[in-house]
Amino acid sequence: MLELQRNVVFGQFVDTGSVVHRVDARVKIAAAALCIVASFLIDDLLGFGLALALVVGIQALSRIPLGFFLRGSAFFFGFLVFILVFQVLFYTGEASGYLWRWGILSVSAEGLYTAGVLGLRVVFLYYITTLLMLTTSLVDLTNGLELLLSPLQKIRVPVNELVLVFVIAVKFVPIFIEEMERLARAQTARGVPFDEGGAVTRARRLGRLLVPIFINGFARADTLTTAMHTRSYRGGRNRTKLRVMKAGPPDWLALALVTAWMLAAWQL
Amino acid sequence: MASNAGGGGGGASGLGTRQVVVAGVVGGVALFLGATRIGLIPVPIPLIGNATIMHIPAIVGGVLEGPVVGILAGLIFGIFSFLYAENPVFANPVVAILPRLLIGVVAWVVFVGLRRFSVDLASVAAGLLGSLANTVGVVSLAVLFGLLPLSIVPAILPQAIAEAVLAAVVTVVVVRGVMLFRSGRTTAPEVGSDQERRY
Repeated sequence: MLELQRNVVFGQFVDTGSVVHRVDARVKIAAAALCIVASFLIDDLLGFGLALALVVGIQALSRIPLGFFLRGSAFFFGFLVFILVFQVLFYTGEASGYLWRWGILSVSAEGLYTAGVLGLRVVFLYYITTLLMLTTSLVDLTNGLELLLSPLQKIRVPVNELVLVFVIAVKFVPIFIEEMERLARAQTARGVPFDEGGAVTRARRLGRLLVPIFINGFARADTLTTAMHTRSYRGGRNRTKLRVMKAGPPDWLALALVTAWMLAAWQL
Repeated sequence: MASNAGGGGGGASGLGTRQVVVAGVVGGVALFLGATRIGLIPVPIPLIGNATIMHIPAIVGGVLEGPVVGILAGLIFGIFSFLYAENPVFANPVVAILPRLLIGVVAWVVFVGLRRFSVDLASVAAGLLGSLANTVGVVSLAVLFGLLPLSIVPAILPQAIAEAVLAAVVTVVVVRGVMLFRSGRTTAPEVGSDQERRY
């Protein structure tokens, strides 16, 4: 409870200077979005096998150790397995034959298959998102997202502001983690045990941490708003950039490869 | 997107600076709750996932800053629960994101409607109904998409009630706290070092 920071991979950027890191951010975001769309179209094990193979390949290229993906996700996978067991036991679709049956509970080949596909979809989504975050700095992610969404500005969607909302949210995560650790330490010093008690007791203690986090958050929001006003923030329209993003032929090639691969995984 | 010209000095169209910042900060609380898993409370039978308190930021945002902030905070919550779905039910963007947009709106409507009677009452009702909007929206869409059987609904009730009560309790304290904080201090609070700040 007290050592949160070590286990949180969310929002981290690990610069290994690999090929994947140097790919244009817009291409990476587009490729990730493609993969996410593909994860809905693909509905068999072979397709997911192919799709995952590509992502594993990209991860190997990025030279980011697998540990980064697995760290702090023990809960995640434990929970996923639990849910999938339920999916299998309560499978209600057509089943040709049962491997095991007891009342409404059953294990069938179809149930296992469906659960397997669902599980892979979840793992695939997690993998893609984590890989994108680990290989792209927040600045590149922001610029890329703004540029990709900029056509929406024509229909008066405030793209810059929306992207800024996400940036602030992501940037505030480590601040809140730090604050939570400090609050938990302060409470522990006063004798509040955070690692004991049942679900209800723990939930009630959570309130004591959550309320100061919110109130502090609003205080920080006030400060940040003032700071932005004094610097004449007016949204990002017509703002020029010092570093202009340029996508070269290798970037386009990478995007084409991902597209082709996902199409193949879907159709096969 | 609601046009809120001049709201906190925003651009000609779109969001005011204040809305952008507050939406970001409450969205940050949602992400923080998800990323650290503090906001996911394990329940014995997680049919629709762990009991969550990640919807509370959307409720608080909606109540204190209006529907736009509520929608944006809900959007961040929705995108997170879609991309980091542990339960295959949420690996569907319609189920994961769409109902979450309504949380803050419902909370805001309820709060504004009841505010003249009592702020505390309005906060409690906003917390309860905002939370229920989340549960009802997610479960009905999941049933509609065939991701959950209809017969599962009674089994979800205890979790839904627990989430709603928790949201109500936290919302009322946070709303009171933020209002108190704002009434007392209108200037930026960080005058001393971070450690000296009162909690």
